[in-house]
Amino acid sequence: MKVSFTTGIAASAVSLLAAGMAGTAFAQDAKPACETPTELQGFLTCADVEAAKKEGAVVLYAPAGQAQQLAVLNEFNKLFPEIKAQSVWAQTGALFAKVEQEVNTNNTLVDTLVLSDPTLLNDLQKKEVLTEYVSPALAGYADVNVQSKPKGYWTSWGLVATTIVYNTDTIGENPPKSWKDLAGDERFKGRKASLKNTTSGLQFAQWATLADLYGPEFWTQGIAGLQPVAFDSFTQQFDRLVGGTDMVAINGQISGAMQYIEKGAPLTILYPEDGVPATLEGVGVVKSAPHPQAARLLVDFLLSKQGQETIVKEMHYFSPRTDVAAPANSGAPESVKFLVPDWEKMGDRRKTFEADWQKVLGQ
Amino acid sequence: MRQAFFNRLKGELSAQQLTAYAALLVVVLLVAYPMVYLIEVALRVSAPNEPARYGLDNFSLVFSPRNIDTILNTIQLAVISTAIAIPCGFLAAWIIYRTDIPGKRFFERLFVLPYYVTPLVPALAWLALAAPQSGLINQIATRLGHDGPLVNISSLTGIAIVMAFTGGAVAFAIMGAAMQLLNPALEECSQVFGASKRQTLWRVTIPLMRPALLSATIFVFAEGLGAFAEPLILGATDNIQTISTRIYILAGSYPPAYGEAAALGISLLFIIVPLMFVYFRLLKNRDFATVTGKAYRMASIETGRSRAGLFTLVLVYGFVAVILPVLMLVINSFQRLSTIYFSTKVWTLDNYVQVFKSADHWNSIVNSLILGVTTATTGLLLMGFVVWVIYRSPLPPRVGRFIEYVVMVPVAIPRLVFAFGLLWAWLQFPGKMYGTLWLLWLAYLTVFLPLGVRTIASVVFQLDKSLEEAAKVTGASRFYHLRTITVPLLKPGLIAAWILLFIVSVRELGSSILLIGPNSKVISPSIVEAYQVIGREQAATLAVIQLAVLLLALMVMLRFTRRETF
Repeated sequence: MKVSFTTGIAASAVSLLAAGMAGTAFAQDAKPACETPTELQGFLTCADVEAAKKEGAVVLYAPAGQAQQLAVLNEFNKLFPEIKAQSVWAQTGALFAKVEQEVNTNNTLVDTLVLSDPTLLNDLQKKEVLTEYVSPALAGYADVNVQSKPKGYWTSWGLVATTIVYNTDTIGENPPKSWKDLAGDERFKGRKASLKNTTSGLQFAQWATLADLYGPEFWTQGIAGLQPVAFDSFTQQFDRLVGGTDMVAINGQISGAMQYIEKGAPLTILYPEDGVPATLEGVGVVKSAPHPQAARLLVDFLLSKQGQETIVKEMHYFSPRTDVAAPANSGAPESVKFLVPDWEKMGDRRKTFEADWQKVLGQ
Repeated sequence: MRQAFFNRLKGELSAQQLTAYAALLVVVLLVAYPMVYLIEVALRVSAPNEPARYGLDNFSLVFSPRNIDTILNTIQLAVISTAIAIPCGFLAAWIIYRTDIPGKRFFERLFVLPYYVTPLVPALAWLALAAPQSGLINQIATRLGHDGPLVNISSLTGIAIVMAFTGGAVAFAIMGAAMQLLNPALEECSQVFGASKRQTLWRVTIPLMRPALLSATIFVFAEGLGAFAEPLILGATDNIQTISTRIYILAGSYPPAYGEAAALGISLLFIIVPLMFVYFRLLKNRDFATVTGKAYRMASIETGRSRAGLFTLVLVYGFVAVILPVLMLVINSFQRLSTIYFSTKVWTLDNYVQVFKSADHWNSIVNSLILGVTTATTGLLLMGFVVWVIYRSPLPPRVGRFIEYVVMVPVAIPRLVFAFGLLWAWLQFPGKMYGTLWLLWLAYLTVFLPLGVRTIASVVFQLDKSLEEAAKVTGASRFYHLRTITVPLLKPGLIAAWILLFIVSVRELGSSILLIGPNSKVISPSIVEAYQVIGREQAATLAVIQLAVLLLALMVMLRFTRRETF
């Protein structure tokens, strides 16, 4: 599969990176944390592995599903049985507050942090909660908005993409094929199309990228005309879709839809040619981590080809690496264009997003 | 100089007074300490990275049209759910503890069941049952030819009814504890003087139950004001927001609006404090003692022809409020997809397999049980002591009243907001409690202080002071009198309070989610996580397991206490 990224949609500076190009670009610019990374267990690391083993533990905080997080950590544990890998689940907002407070009060328990909102990661970078660690694994990454500026503070461990998802059994003839097909379709009118609330980073990314592509009227007139409903979780959206309450999920998280499809739900994931909006979950090392070397080792594993394949398999995320295939059963075509917003500029757009969302939801 | 100070203190204060003041200090530390942080955040108007500036800007945001709408929704939900829960809880407690209907023990256990699980669970169950299109009831109705949804649990009234089922359970538990101590002689006396059973209920039973009734009303109403899971899950379709769901949005937005969230949470105090004032005024100078030195036998009221009707009534209530949602959860736990019922392909045991093979889930269950037992046991001692300080200690009445108000503060602030206060406060505290079960234990003691104190108080109110005085006159020591008179007489009520504290601790969610560490996980956050990122089926599975563990633990506990005491 070819993965391409479109970033900073509104600006004319649209960068499209074909598969394979990014690695070359990075190899010239990147300054890994060490000059000669150690290769062990099939991946490169700049961590002091002996010290990591002596630390004996590593703690990951992440907002992905606990079972999936543990499945990924389990693979790490198989490679390093001396290091007990543990994880804590909470929503991004709660994790942010928790980590900030832990660090401010010298009570840090977390070593490696994952958040689903890059603006929060940028904030923690500025506050020096996250430390710089340019993993040797970054050589395999596309040089786009999937990592911090400068590199090494946080890097995406997976792309969370969203698209149109519909119930194959109830959609009838002529299912939508593109984003523009949604507006004006009578089937989806009257609280039968679902979105997410403003708390969702994925919704923020979808709003921004599609507003950049089609203009703000796409949302405030086109989608608002459908009188959609909004939820906090994809499980609420897909339960309604499977149960026949809704006709379409406009913000259908692909990894979530895949979970449902694996359970036998009659859902179809659409990959519009114009692009698939995506945000990311970024992983970084906490500066005051109690197990600093184990934290670096874990980050190297998570960002390596091997780690990414585990994440793609267990979490159904798309990998930002150019050498890792799309999740099996995702139904993704040979080439997917992801629309990734420029998170540096997103902080300033928050208020417009919230105002637009009130119009979209008729509040 | 220090010695002189202590000597002076010893001279001026009795040992009892010193102990009482020590209790006051503990309560203030538990409640006021996190509140200080919460108030600081509500008053802070500067950005987190800037030097602190303070003002009332966040409080002025409380009066924005959107927040006013939210506040009105919250009040409506709290009023409707309380108006349903209290009569239901009272009637259920009266029928079960005071009449001669069959199957009392079964109903007694059944009615508190909704309170055993986090409110997320009944909300999920009722969504599966009565969502406008996909709910099982509506799917059946459609198949039988009904046009459109038969029931809509997503409406304001629908949400209030689901909240009332949980509220009804706590009302039943609080009033049931007090009802067991009711002296039947008073009711018999009323009937001897020619009053009918209905007149006796209205003129004797209900007035005697006033402390418990008021306690239950305040609790159900306050819980209604802080309700989160039900409006979050059921109110999404019709965009019904409450203060707690609004706070959830504010805290989760970027940058997180902690100031507005804290101000909104604290503003609830302006509703609850006047209510508490009314409550304490109503109780002032009244004698509710029904347990006196005179011997009596707890006799059931013979209901005669009404027996079958009353039995049917509790059976229907039990079925709708408890059995149906629990059954729905069990069904969901065996499904791959919780909205498809009429297909053979959706049934599976996978959800249980997934849960049981996870060491993490096992640790969470064990931690929850440890916390349940320790919080209930230490909480009973601490809260019992606080009740004694408030109502029976030789402290000036003003001090007692002050403690009464302080104790009630956690109930007036939505748990979601109070949890941030706990996090900010206890992480600043010297010592490394964070990431251990100790911190969760402290948090639970704090957030359940109001529930524990009011439950124990409503029981203690019924104990006549003359018993203490009689013991004193006969020369019994305070401890001897406590061990041989007070505790045995209060035992049923105290056991009920222990069970209540155990249950609420095991199902606690709001503060746990922020305070857990890698080695101190508990079960309720796993249910939320399953609901948010896996699916309703696994959330239902965890909820069923949580319920089973609670029931098992309670059976063991009840068997033990029965053997020891009766």
